[in-house]
Amino acid sequence: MSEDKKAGAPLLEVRDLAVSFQNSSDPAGPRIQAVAGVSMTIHPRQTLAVVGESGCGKSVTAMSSMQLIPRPPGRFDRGSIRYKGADVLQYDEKKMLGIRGKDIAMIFQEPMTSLNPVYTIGDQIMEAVLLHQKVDRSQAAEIAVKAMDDVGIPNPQARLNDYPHQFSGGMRQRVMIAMALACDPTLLLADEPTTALDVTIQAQILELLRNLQRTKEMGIMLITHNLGVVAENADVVCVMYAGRVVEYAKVYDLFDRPLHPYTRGLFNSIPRLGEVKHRLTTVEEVVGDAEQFKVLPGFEKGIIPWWPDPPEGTTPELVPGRDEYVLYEIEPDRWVGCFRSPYLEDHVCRPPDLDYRKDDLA
Amino acid sequence: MTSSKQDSEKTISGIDVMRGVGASKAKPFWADAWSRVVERRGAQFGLVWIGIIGFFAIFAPVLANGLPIWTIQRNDDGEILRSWSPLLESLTSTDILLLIGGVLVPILLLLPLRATRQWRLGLVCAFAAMAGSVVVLIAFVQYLIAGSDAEVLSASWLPWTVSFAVSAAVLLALFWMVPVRGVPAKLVVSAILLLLTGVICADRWVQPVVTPDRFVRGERDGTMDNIYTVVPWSPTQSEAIFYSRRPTTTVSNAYLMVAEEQVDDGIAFFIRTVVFNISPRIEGLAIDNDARSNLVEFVASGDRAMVPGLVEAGMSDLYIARFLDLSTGLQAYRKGIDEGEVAKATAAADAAVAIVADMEAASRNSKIMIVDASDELRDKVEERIGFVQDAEARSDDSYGRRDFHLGTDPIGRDVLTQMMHACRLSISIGLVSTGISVVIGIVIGSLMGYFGGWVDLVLSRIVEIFMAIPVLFLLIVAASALPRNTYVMMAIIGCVTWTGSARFIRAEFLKLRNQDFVQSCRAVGLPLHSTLFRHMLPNGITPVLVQASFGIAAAIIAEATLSYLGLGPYGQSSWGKLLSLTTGETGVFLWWMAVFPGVAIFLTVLAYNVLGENFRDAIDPKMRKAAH
Repeated sequence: MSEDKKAGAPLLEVRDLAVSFQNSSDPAGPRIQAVAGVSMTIHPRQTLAVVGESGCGKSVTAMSSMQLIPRPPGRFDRGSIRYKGADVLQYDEKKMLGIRGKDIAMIFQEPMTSLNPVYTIGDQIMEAVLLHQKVDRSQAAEIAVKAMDDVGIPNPQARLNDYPHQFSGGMRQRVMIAMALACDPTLLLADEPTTALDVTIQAQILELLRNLQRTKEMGIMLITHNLGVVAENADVVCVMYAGRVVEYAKVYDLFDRPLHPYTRGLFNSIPRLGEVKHRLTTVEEVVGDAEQFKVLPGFEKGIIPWWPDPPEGTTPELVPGRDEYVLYEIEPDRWVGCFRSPYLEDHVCRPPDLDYRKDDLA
Repeated sequence: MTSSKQDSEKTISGIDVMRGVGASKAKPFWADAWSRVVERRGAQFGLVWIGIIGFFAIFAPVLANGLPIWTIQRNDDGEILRSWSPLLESLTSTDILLLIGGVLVPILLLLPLRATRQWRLGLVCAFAAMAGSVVVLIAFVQYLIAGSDAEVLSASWLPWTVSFAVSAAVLLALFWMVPVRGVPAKLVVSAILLLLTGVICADRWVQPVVTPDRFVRGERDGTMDNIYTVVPWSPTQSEAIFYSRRPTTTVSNAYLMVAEEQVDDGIAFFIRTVVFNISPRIEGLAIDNDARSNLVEFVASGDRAMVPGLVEAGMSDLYIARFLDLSTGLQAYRKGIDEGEVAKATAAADAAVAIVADMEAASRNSKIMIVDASDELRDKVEERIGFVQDAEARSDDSYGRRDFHLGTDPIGRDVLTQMMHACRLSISIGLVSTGISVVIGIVIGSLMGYFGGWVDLVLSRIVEIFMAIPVLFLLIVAASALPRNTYVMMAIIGCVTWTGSARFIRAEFLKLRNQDFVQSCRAVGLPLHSTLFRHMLPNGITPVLVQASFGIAAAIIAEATLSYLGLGPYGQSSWGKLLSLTTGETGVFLWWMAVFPGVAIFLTVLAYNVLGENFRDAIDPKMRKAAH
């Protein structure tokens, strides 16, 4: 592990990223803060799962890493995203074109509309290959066939000349993945890659991604709502809420002992086999319970988990003039989003960075 | 589409489908759209009509030409002096390039070759763009140097230098269009084509002037043997005797009509001179013009039913008898000329003159006028007989048997020929001007739609400014200020009417830019031009294509209107110009001049409109669902 650390410089480091969007036609009007200071780190061969409800800023973070946020209305307020040490937010469009697809690839969540209906899928995969690799058309076709074979599309040679409408949803998602993988990216941003798929296909695709990750030394940011998928596939989990990281931990640590009330709320809302329940506990019930906030070690010192409207009795004393939120490393390798109470006033947080893989345990 | 066949009971299982059993090759997007368009009645009509117009646009100079396709010149002894094709000699460089293209392109596209049809179409388009650019640029250079030294203009090196310089420039600018792999191959293929184009353009630097009359005369003399095309008239060929002839008139008809008109006019002149100059006292009639006209009519027709009227008016029996005799005499005169008997006609003339001589003239002057008219009646017997015989002789030679199928215009030019030659203007003005407008519209519209923000704001204002320009009035103003040729007209129509397509493309792109596949294009790292024009454009261009077909129709109408107003391009036949000649200089309505060009314009505009309509219906998924 220690030798690994030297070689394994992080692939992607998101540091205190804040992104906001213009909300009205008046540029001076109030802006929507989609991401308000998010930090996370992805290492090679590592899967970082980003979970959280819709609109919590997961996709915006991923899109920002490729500068896919339309600007305007979007704007990077602060922070940095370093890919292999260089801040991609400072890149101009031309430099970005060299990275997109080649180094960082992205899989979108909607397979039905993510492919251009006008071209054959072979054309679409090959275009990316021709763009990023110095190959001719026949070689590009071979690479495309190989990529389609890799993602388990039967009879890839024949299907190269088919159009998207001739594929089912699952097949199209595979095509999307084949397209993303054809150029051997080192980082894959998978934005809910399996949400649209049925469970069998979902398992196949995730298995496939895991295998590819092992063989290609690829880092994956897996954006999902599905905690089962997280438990199965992620090495590190980043739980987000309202544009902020509320909890960041190794996957087993998180599932064993979630520290933030919101994370607990998420877990409680999952039905369990063998458990008889009249109805599921909602997230609101958990985060509305003051007791849940007191469980966190160090509560008495004023370490209170950050939450937009904390229940009565847990309202923190805030440091005036500073952001109410701080990501605090409450235990080694475990981060929880907390209120910046006087106790944490001068705390300088180590950015969340876990060079950890489940496979390494075995 | 519904079919009368029963659905098959055989099925292929999903597993087999996965293994590729029963896989049918999907049609490419555009091929599929095209096949849906083509199976519609209206679209078929539109395409067929446009095809006919297009055929004439290319082949009109060969199909309708007053020059013989082949001529054999002999000297007086019957030895062959020269054997050549005046028609080919007279073709312009555009004609020749279009003919070569018109013959080779269908062959290239229809032959079952190994190369894909799409590739061949790309090749044809590239060649057409290159050759077209050369022709247009050379025309432009000619316009620029038109004012320079006569010495330079007549220099033999000028055509070749300009042609090859322009060809080389086009080679460098457009060689990338050729769908061949590798820059050297592209350069070689386009160089071959451009060399050919350059040679043709240099050879036909100015339009060669060969007049058709020469060959008609030669054939009559017996010094030439000519083979003519289907419609043996040039659009500018005319003779005074052909003024405003009805459809299906032949040349000998026209001559005969002129001859008879002349005889009739001569006789009518004589009658009028007599009636208006004899003494009113003796005449015994009230002196007013009505009575005189009445009398003229009586003499001309010899109608005895009019006698009681004349008696009532107070004319003496003597005079009535004299006028009746005069009438009979003139009819004999007419008959004599028609039959070609000089003696008979002269005798009749003498008799008529003798009757008139007995009448008392109104004054000295009147007497002289009557004598002059009498002399003319007698003296012109042989000349008039000559006319008639000449016209009759015409019906024997091939020139005389030529038909004006759709009549002639008031300047004596064949209408059918002009209509055939006008097809090129009609097709090209529509396609080129709309092409220009669609290209500008697509570029500006896609920038507006994709970027939004201030780009959209600024360009939208520009669009609004251009929308406020009335095209027709601009064209009328331009007709007075700029050279009046088709290129200028196309450029003006194209540069002003792009706003429609720009707005359509903008709307489509606004919708498309948020679609996932566009995001995924960007995520893959495709450059902007590829995202915009390769991926977004094909998904958003259908409304523009529909609009373009209406735009073509509008451009044709604009050209016809302008030509109708007499502001159309110089030296070009045009349907609008034919329409403007419907009422000739005499103010007589010539129905064939209104009907044929009118129907042609109507059908062409209808064809484009119907095509656009059907295209929209075939592409629009909502309509498709309704059709099923």
